[in-house]
Amino acid sequence: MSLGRFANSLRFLPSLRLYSSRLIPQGDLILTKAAKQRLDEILSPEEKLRIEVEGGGCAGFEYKIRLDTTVAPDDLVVKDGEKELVVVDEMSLGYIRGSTVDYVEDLMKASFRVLANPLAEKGCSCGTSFAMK
Amino acid sequence: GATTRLRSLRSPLTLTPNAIGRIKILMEKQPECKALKIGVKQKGCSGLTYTLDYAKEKAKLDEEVVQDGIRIWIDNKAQLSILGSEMDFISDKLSSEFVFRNPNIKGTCGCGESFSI
Repeated sequence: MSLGRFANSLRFLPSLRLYSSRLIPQGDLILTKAAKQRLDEILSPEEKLRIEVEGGGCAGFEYKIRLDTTVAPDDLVVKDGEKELVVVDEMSLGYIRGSTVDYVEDLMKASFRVLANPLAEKGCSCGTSFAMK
Repeated sequence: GATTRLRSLRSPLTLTPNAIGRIKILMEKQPECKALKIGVKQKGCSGLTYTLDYAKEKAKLDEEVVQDGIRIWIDNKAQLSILGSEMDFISDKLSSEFVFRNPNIKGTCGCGESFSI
């Protein structure tokens, strides 16, 4: 095989997955209708909404929400049919189990939010930072 | 001339084209409202946060800003902190929001939603 053809075949590697993604058990992460609707509008075929929990923020922990195109072995996903909508790594899921993901819109701002986290205590009023119970 | 320049320097709030565009869309949805009102309330870890509401009647001490056909009323309590700010609207796939760039702000919260002056 020529070097060029070899390189060309590598192009498809990132989309190959040797494992099937694990589903987030029902009830461990609830997507509201508004969140689903917004994800339908914005996600390109390869994109998913990734939710992570990191140390930081004024209350100790912080939700990070971004778009991602990759799924790692320690990730769990929420699917709608065949489409992977939301992806959360195992560690982060441990901090948000039972939460609701919503797309909240008001005059000032519209954004995805992690709400009603049963594991979180008080948070910052911005809603992105929280403390564990 | 000099007067126009003086007036524009004293304008308490300027709007970016993105903010104007967004406010036009919002106001079309509420034809019975005359302006968008900016207020402040105690909230957030740095003390204050701005609020936005549709408004039908201008309160006595509201400051009025008119730019490109858009009417903004600034609540008396918000005037001091907003003075000289620029109101912008930023949006991407994940979120969209109005932001206020304020030269008078001393500190902000990490979330960017509350501030102290």
